Amino acid sequence: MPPCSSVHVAAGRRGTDEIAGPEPSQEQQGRGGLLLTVGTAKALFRFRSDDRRRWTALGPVLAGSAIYTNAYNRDSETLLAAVNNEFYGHSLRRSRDLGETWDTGGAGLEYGPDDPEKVTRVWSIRPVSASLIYAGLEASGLFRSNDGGDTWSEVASLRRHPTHATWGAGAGGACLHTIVPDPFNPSRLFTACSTGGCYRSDDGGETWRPANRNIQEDYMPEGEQFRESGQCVHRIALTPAREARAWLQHHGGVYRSDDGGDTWNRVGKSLPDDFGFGIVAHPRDADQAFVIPLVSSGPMPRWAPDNNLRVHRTRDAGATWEALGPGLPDGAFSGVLRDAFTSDDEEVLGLYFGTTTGDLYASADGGEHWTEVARHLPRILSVAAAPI
Amino acid sequence: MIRVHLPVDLADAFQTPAVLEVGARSLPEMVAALEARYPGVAHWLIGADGQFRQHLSVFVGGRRVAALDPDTPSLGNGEEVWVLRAVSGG
Repeated sequence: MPPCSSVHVAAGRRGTDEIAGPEPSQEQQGRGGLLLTVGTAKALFRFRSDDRRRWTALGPVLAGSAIYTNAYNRDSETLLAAVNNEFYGHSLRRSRDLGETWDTGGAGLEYGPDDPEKVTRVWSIRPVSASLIYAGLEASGLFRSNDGGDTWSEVASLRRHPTHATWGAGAGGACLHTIVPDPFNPSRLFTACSTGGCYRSDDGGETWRPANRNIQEDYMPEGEQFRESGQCVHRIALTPAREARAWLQHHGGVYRSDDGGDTWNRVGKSLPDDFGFGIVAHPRDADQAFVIPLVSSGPMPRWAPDNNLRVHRTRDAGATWEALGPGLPDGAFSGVLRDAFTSDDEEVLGLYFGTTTGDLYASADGGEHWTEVARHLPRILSVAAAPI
Repeated sequence: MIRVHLPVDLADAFQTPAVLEVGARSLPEMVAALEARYPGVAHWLIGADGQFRQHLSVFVGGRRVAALDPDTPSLGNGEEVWVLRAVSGG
């Protein structure tokens, strides 16, 4: 365990509660302040640091609501939160003061009254510019706003794809959980839904095609293991370090693509388990990626193999993986959900994840060492890191 | 005019008093009047099925309303309408 890792934030209070992690180098300190926004089953929590070592809890906001995902729009300096409330339904709310106050959400995150599918929850948010924002909803719909989130309309071409009939609901629901613009091609957009799979548009969302070739569902009967669609893709990550390089965490394995998702190669078989939810691509090293394996076999507890919670890293494009653990717990009955694992984009990469048992971990040195930022939060659903 | 009692957290979000008066002769008119005054509030109250959300309970004159019906009940002048968060939701 790193020094001081047993000191944790009393996250329920506002103010100056702090945790101190290992002393960072100047490079590790990064350029400036960082805000971690942590969506949980019962509120959004915020932690701020000027050096990625000492974290200050700013206290919970949006209490009572499940925050399935959240994001920071750097262009408009706006926090965005997917608020799924048992009483008042779903909304995508915005804050321009780092979460102190929130609007009540934009209009239009609904299907038409005659649509056989209904919108029930917001699962993903992807700001592209101050005005252009995408949102993924349940049941598996992609929405777009061209005015920063004031109004929304469905990108209906996706649900009109002929393979839509093959989509189903994963354990969490029929969720469109991943939206990834291609950093090299502004017309190219990837989405993923469970269960539906990865879809790619090369014309800004006008048309789509499934992008699941060579992904194996070894839990399906023989002859049905390489379906074009209906796949349970958990997450896609692209890197601005190399055009066409993509990573994918599937229900049945970890995959890499070198051709923009035209084909996928399974690269995680040497992991303790290649089931998991989140996957992070290094923004400057195309051969580096990070996953958090969870147990897929038996009763499917979805906690870490041997109960040793570890981030695993590849530095050779998936040929080998290494466990990164100092500061992370043994004896953990914790899982990590797809939106609860992220990175910043500092020169020395910061990595952050939250667990289903309410613990928040941070690394300021690319995963080499970890610090517990908070514990005893509600079930963590999403973690985002934003420079402020 | 009728008097509407809103849940405090909803009133806080929309920066409205928790108790307010609107002109309405039915519950749909009440929702429309609230929406006109506080855009977006109808989405918080009404689900995709056109009914009050599952975990909201609405009482008119002390009696729980089963459905958002344009005709039943009609709201008389001075009627008290309570919108409550149901125990089922929390």
